[in-house]
Amino acid sequence: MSSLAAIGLVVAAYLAVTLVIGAVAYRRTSGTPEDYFLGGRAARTFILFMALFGTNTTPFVLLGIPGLAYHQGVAVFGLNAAIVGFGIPLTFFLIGEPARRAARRLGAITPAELYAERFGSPAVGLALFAAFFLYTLPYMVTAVIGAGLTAEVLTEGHLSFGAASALILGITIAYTTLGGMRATMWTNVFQGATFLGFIVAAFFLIADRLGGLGAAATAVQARAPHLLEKTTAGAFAPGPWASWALAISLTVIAFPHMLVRVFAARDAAALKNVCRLYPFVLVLLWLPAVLFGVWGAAEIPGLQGKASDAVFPLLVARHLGPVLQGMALAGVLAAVMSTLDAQLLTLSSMLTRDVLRRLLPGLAPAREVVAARLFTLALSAAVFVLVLARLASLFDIAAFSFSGYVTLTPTLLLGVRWRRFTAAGAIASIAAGNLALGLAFAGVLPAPFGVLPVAWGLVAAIAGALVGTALSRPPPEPVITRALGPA
Amino acid sequence: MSPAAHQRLFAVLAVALIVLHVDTWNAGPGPLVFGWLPWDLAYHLAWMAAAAVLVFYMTSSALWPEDPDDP
Repeated sequence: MSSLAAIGLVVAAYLAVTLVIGAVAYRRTSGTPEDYFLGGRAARTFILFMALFGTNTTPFVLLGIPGLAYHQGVAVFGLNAAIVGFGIPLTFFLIGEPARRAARRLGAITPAELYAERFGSPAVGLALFAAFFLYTLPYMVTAVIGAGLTAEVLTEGHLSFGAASALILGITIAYTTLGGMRATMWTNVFQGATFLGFIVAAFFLIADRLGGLGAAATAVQARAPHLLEKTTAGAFAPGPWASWALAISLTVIAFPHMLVRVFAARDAAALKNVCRLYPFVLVLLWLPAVLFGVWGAAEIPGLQGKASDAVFPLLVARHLGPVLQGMALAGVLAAVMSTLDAQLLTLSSMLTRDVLRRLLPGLAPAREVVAARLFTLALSAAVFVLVLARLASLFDIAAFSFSGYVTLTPTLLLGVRWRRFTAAGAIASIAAGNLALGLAFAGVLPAPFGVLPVAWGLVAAIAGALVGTALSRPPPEPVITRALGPA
Repeated sequence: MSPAAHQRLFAVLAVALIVLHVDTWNAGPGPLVFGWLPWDLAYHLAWMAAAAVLVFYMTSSALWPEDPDDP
C-alpha cells in the first residue's frame, strides 16, 4: 500500500467515525431550539470539558504555535500557554458561571440574547451580535486554512489546499446542520481525543527519532541556542508580554462559541470540574507544540515567515510512517472541525435568534431550526471564499480576532456582576473599545512601553462602560432581577 | 474564614501569580532541566502548577457556591 493510500485510509476512517457520531446525535435531537442549539443544557463534566477544550483548540495551537516557536523559541510557551491555564478558568468563574445562571433563568440561547434581555435593550443584543460576527468570521478562516496547509504538505500536494478546505467544510456542515449542539459536543469528544492522543504520541515518537529528548535539545543548543532562552526583545518585552497575556486570557470567554457551550453545562459542578482540568490538559497540548517548533528549527532550518506554520507536518512527514502521517492529518482535521462546528452553529443560532426572530416575531420554533441550517450553509460558503483569499498568517488573523473579543469582556463581565450597569454603558463600552482598537491597529494611537493595540481597546471599553453607566439610568429592577436573580 | 475574606485572599494570590508571570528576570541563557527541558519552559510549567492549585481553591465552595437552581 502506498503512503498516500495509507494516509487516505486513516483520514477516511476518522471522517467516517465523525459522521456516524453526528448521525447518532441527530437521532437523539428533538426539533426544539433549546435542544438543537444547546443540547438541552445537559452537558456533564467529561462532555463539557471535551467540547470546550476541542472548541478552544485550533490549528493556531497545532500549526501556528510550532511555527512561532520555530522563529522565537521556547518563550512562546510562557507567552501563550501558561497564562491561559489560569486566565480561562478565572474568566469561567467571573463571567461564565453567572452568565450560565442568567441564561438558564431567562431561557436565553445566545449570548447576545442573554444581554439584550438583561438590559431590556435589543440594541445591546444587536451591538454584541455585530461584534461577535465581525471577529468570529476571520477566526473561522484560520481553522480551515490550517487544515488545507496540513493536507497539502502531508499528501505532497495530491490533495490541494482548496480541495482539503472544501472537504472539511462539507463534512462539518453535514453533522452540524443535522445534529446541532449534541452532534458537535459528541464529535468534539472524539476529535479532542484524536488530536490530544496524536500530539502526545508524536511528541515521544519524534523525540525518539531525534535520539531522545536530551539529544533533541542538544541539537538545538548547537544550531540555534537562542531558541532555548527567553529574550526581552520584541513580543517578549514587558509591555507586549503583559498586554498579550491580557488578550489571550480574557478573549476565550468572549468567543460566542465558547460562551454558548458554557450555557450548555448541566450544573455548576460540571463547570468547576472543567476549570480544574484545564491547566493540566493545556500542558499536554502546548508543551509538545512549542518543542516541535524548536526542534524543527534545528532539523529543518531555513523556513521563512509564515512558511514555518508547516514545520509540524514537515517533522511528521520526515520522521513518522504513513499511518502516523494519516493520524497527524486526522488530528489537525479534528482540531479544525471541533472549532469550526461550534462557530458555525453559534453564528447560525445568532443569525436565527438575534436577527431573524426579531424581524419575524411569529417564527415557529421548528422553522428556527430550519433557518439555522440554511444559515450554516451560507456561512460556510463565505468562509470558503475567505480561505481561498488567504490574506495573512494564522497568527496574524488570530491576533486580530483575539484583540476584538477582548473589547467585549467589560460588557460581558459587568452585565452579570454589576446590577447598576446600564444599556448605554454597554453600548458605549463596545463602541469605544472597538474604535480605540481600530485606531491603535491603524497606528493613530501611540504604543507606550510597547503595549499592543488590545490594551487601548480594553481601557477604552472600560472607560466607555463607566461613563455610559454614570450618565444613564439602569433598567427597571424587575428586568434586572429576572436575569440576575434577587439582589 | 468569611466569604469576603476568602475573596480577598484569592484576589491577593491571583495578583501575585500574575506578577510572577511577567518574568523578565529569566531573560538570557539558562540550564537544561533534566538535561532536556529549557529553564524558561521549566519555570512556566512550575507557574502552571501553582495556577492549578489556585484554580482548585477558586472552585471550592468557599468562593464558588453551588447553584440552588441547578437540577
